[in-house]
Amino acid sequence: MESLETRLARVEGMMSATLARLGEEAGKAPTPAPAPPRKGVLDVVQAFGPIVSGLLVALVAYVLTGSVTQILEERRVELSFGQAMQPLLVKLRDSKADRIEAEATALTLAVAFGKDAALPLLSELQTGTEVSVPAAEKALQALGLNHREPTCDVLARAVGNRTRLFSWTTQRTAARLLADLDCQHAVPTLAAYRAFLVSLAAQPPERALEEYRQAVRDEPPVSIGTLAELRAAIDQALRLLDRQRATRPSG
Amino acid sequence: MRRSAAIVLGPCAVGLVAAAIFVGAAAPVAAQVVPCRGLTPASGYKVLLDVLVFVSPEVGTDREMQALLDRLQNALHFKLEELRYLKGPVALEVLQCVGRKPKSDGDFDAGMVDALNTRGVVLEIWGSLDGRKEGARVRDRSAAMRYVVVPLRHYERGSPQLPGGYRARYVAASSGVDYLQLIEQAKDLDAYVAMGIGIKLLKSTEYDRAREYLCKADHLMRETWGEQPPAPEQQALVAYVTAAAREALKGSLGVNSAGNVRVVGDRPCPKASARP
Repeated sequence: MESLETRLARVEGMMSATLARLGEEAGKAPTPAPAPPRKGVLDVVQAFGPIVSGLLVALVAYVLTGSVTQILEERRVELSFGQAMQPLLVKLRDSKADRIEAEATALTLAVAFGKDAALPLLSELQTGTEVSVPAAEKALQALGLNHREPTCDVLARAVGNRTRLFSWTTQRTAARLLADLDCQHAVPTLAAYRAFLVSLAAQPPERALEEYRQAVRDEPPVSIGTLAELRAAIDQALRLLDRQRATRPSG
Repeated sequence: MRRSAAIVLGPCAVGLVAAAIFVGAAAPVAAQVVPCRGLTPASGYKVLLDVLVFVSPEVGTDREMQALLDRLQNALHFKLEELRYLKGPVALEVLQCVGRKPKSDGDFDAGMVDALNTRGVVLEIWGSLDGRKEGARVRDRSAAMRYVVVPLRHYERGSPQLPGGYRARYVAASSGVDYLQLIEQAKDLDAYVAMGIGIKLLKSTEYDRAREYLCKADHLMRETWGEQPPAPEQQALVAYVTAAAREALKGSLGVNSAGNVRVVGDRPCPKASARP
């Protein structure tokens, strides 16, 4: 059995050898320390990510809040316009409203609500009484002087419609107004309507009426005479617009 | 931004609306040309019977006037029966327009006449009734009537010879003739209705029927005013109706207006004695 001293001496020898080896290794050229990893785009993103995402969230929140506020604001204005319009529209249809009162009411609608009054006035042309319809036409004339483009757009849509949404009388009045208001953008719409009427005139009367009734509301009833009347109105509108365009200074 | 402007302008708009309502409220109670209830764009021809008024309150009360209007509406309905079946049936109704009281022909501007024309109105009637009260009886009854022949006013707009608005005064020959009979017996009313329907049919290129109605109007006018009507406006009406009947005849013969239609001659309508 080895003595304790012997075993200590062997451990001491082993430790000395290990230290010597370590010393040798330490004496060799030192290995350069590994370079710190370069910072890539990802690192930048990682570093600034929270800040950027925070900013983005703030921006989106700002934009969303702005849009929502704007939408809410618009809805609020539309609602208040609608509420304010309602008594005037009721008054315009009132069975006791005199011709002069109806004209004053329609004109007030046009002045007070501007372009937002174009649709209700067009609706009045379509469904109003013999008193409110002429009043609405006069109001649309006045409206067109102040807000020509939106008024022209609404009227041109009525003339261009072929889904039986409008009657021939509404389209005839709208065509007249397009000319009155010098709606030059509506010339192609009017020309297309004219072409439609010309194509109908080439057909036997009953067939022409049937085809026309599929495109335009038949109330008031349509006859061959009304088609001729309508064509005359469209021709007149195109002539007026052409004359107006010719009188404009060039350039 | 524009919406904001709208909001800023909101109070102004509200002010305008309030002003309009105020103006409406301040308008005279006796409204003039109010909408005629029951007048729709549906097909058919219509005669509008507006308010008649007693010139003197002693001649009659409001209640009596309403009763008279109800009776007159019925009477006119039957009076115009012949015109419903002149050449095939036509839908013709008499509508009473409560509260509608035009001041003059001036109320019938282009827009109003267009709206009435597209609703099939051929004639609008209003007027005033007068008389002299003696005890319980009314003597010297008279009716001053106003007529607007809507299609004529619409299609001949701006023609000074053919204004489309006419007056007539009927005087009772005896105290036994009441207001209803006074108006019911007026033949010019029938003539105006026949002319209105005739013009509408002519514009719809229904030439045969148009000629029938125009010739009926021609016949009634000559019967009422004589072969040589005294008033220039009556002469112009007869000339117009004759010309329109000639146009209808040409149309039914398929000859354009520039053509020379020898068969038409000066009188496109058969003489009254030749009529069935």
